[in-house]
Amino acid sequence: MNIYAKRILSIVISIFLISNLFIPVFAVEDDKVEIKMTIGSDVASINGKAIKIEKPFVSKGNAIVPLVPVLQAFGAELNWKGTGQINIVYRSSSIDFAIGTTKYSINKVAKELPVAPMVVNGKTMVPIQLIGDNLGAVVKYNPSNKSVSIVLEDDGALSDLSFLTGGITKAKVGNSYFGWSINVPKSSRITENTFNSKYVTIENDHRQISLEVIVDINEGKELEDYYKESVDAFESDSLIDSSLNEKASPAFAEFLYTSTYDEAIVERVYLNKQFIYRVVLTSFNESNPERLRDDKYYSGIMNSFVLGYKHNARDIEDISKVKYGVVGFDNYIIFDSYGNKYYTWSMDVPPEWDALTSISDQDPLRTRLGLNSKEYVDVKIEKDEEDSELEDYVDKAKDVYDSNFNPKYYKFIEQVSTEIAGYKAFKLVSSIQLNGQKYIIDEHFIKSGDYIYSISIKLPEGQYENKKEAYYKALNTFKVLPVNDSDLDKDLESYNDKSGKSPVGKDDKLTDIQNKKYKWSAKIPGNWQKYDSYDEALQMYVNPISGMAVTVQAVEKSLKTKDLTDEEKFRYLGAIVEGYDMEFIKKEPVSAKNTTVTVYTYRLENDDEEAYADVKCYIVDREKYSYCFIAIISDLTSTDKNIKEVNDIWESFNPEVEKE
Amino acid sequence: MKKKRLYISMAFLIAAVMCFGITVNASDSVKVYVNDKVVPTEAKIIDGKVYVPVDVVEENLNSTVDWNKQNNIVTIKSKEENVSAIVNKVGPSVVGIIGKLKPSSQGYSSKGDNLVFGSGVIYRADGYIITNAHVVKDLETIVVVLSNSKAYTARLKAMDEKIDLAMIKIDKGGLTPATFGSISNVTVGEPVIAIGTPLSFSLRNSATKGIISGINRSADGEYRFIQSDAAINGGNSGGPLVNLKGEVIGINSVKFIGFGVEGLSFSIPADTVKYVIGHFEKYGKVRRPYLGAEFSEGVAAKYGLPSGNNGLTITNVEEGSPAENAGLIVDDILLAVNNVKLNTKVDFNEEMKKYLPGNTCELTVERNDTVFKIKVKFGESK
Repeated sequence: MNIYAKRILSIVISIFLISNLFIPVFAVEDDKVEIKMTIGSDVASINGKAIKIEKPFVSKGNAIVPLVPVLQAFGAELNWKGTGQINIVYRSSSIDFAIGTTKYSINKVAKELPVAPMVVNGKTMVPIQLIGDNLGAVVKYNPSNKSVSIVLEDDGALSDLSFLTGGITKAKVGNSYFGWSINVPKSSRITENTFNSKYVTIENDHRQISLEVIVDINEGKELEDYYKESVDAFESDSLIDSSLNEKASPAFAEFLYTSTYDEAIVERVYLNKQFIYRVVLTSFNESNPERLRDDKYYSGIMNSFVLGYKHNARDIEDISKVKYGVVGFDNYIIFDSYGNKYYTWSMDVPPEWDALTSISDQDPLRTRLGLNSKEYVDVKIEKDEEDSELEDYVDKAKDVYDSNFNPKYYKFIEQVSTEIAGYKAFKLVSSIQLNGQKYIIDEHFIKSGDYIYSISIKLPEGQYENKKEAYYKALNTFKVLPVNDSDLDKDLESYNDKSGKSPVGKDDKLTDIQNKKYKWSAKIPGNWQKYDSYDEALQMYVNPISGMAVTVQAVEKSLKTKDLTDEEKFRYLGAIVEGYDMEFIKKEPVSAKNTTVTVYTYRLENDDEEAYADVKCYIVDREKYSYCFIAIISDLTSTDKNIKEVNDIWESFNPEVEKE
Repeated sequence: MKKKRLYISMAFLIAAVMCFGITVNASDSVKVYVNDKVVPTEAKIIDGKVYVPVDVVEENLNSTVDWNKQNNIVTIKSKEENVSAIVNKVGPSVVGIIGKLKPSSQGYSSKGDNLVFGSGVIYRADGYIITNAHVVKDLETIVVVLSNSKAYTARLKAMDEKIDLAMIKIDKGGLTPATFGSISNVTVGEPVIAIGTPLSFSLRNSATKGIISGINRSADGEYRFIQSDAAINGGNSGGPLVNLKGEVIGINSVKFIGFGVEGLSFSIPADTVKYVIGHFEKYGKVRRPYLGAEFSEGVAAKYGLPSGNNGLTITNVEEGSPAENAGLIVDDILLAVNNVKLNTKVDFNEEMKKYLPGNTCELTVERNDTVFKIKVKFGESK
């Protein structure tokens, strides 16, 4: 067993063992600490046991006692700071005081002692008020019989460890930022709470249920519209029942369905001007959602959901992670789930933002935070192989943009030397046009060690002035964290090696590509990348700088394929048309490759993926195989040069050369 | 216990002969052999019965004898089966540790419970506990559970990952600290008990028993370990390895694994634990002397073959380091530190425990077949 297996062994926990800790612990005799001293006597009693101490005395009517025996009996931490300064740490209090001065502080709050602490026979002596006022002990000095008593009733033992497992101790749970609260069954635990507390899952092992509260931004929908759209979105038969309850307070839409594991689900949706709230109750041992809805206990829980919770309420456990209006986002680079995890940067962002992910960009070095694909902050970490000066790197980036972006869709605005979050930065400001909408991109470059961080703000042009303040506020909390560079380099290298892409050629020159099995050839520039493919029938090539892509799929002709449409025959084509929701524009015959080639033109416009492109698909029929040559030409990089490069590949494409 | 002479009757002796191997010569001046060893004693024959002083039994047969004069009762206890007594004696000094992982830690998963557990040993009555560094290092909250079931939050005060020890503090006084033994009293074959605290509500200490399989073992750590076959797992890692006297002779660690062996457990020797605690209390961390040289061991050393004094070959000397200043160069062979012979890197690390940054010592070096001594002044390790 390697180290990791053994470490995991110590991490494995049985819920039943921990759930035993929910039971309050019975009081044991040694809860209390009782110290008895007598003025002028060098014997003290601690819980009945006699010990020798420095003699306590009286000063200005105050009992002065030796500090160390008391602190040892309490188990407090004593730190000698030198030059007579002493620090005591006891539970949540940190007390700083000094020999010879009556001024002291507890948790930085200034206080005063009636008599200054002093040293007698090498022992530190303090007025009992230092102990009585700050350590939770009850101190009494009785001048008539010279007795001093110090009693600590509560030794700070924890009575309930359920907080370790996310246990909820109150009857209700709520989010004071997004404004909701709900009753929860006893002994429930929070098993998931995202960084912005927009998504929380509460589970109850005894009842075998989970309760999720999911908050989304409301982009101007009304409850009725939401209800209608949702009902339509359910696949036929999977929605058992639904209802719109506008008279309820708050109003809600309700949906009853089952999960893929046949678990009953009752979902209610509430909304206000800002947010949409989805409350999802799942029962792991009930498969009939109607029974779950009609159950008195659970309908009570669902009916207890209310909007409007704002601050401290004694009976509500606040799960909001919002502090001073923002939440902290910690970014980790994780190449795979078994490998190292690198904590690379953090930033404070508005709670409404999410970590956006898209199908096409699963880059572990890139993180996008924002509301949606139209406005966000994108952070990309790049290793600077050449260890260049930051300004040179930025100049190079600008050159790449200038030579690769079509001026119809991209306009360079300015390059500025600036500073963000205390880091020296260079900013490239440009405007891009996607799908008829103009956006301003503020791309900041900072350098830390061998890595360049590119932090871009994307905002729709019309909203730039209004919204940029919030974005820059977030940017100025950006913090780069120290990371073990050599470990990260190693992991990055092995990740790139496994990336499934390799350069087409040894240099940038045109390289001959031969697909022997499916009998086609083409000439592709060497700096293009070929995606590894298990199936030689489908090959994909990409220009890593311009993002242009060419895919060739060959299908063997047979009786089966004869009657299929082209989208059915070429499954890759069918997949991207449906997956990216491409719009069919036209189909036309063209004379090429010594035959008539069918050319399909599609338009790809996907806001979520930020993909806008013209897609051309050439179908060539030969004797044995049919070929589908797909060229994806993205709007942004559709310069003449880039388009020509793709067209040249098509020109050079030689499918199953006809036998002479 | 006072050594009063007590005589036991033949009946017991017969039982003793059968179980323990006391042989008695049949003559008036009785010569007593216990397990083939002659024991000088005044055994007597009275009325045909052989009487052997009970202190012979106590001293030579691993038992305890108690003579209650008032009630005229003699109690003889064989020490072999006192494991439960040891566990009960040491138990109050053993704690269970539970904690929640920090989100930034390696093992953290957004779906899991993210709990870690292990054990620890109280070494000071006012709440200072020693455990493994790996148990507590990634924890956001640490909870200590005492043998009486009470739980307290703890703070991490100091940690050394190389030796895998950490010091944590709970604000609770009046605890029972453990007694630490010394490696010089540990012998191979000696029975030992590993104690830990599983997290069941009753919180009785879990104990596993084994024998010392080896001392001066190097596992994959940088220091020497005690090797035993007492089972150590995640739950009792950080807890004590205890001898039959109830002394803690080691702190168990699941982190160290022997080369290619399974089923053998490693514990950090008590002497190393004391060294680390001393540094934690004085400096808040372990202050290692810095030499600035990298070594490679001889092949024999890698396999643990007996090899005389092959020394450590220097493979790199850092610029500006104490090693460079003392005149050491690559390919020098470091044979000894203050006349203590070295063969492995572990030997060197163990020897370095005796020094602090700023100390000077004498190195015995071999270069081009010549052996000479140089003085070096250690710097501070980062």
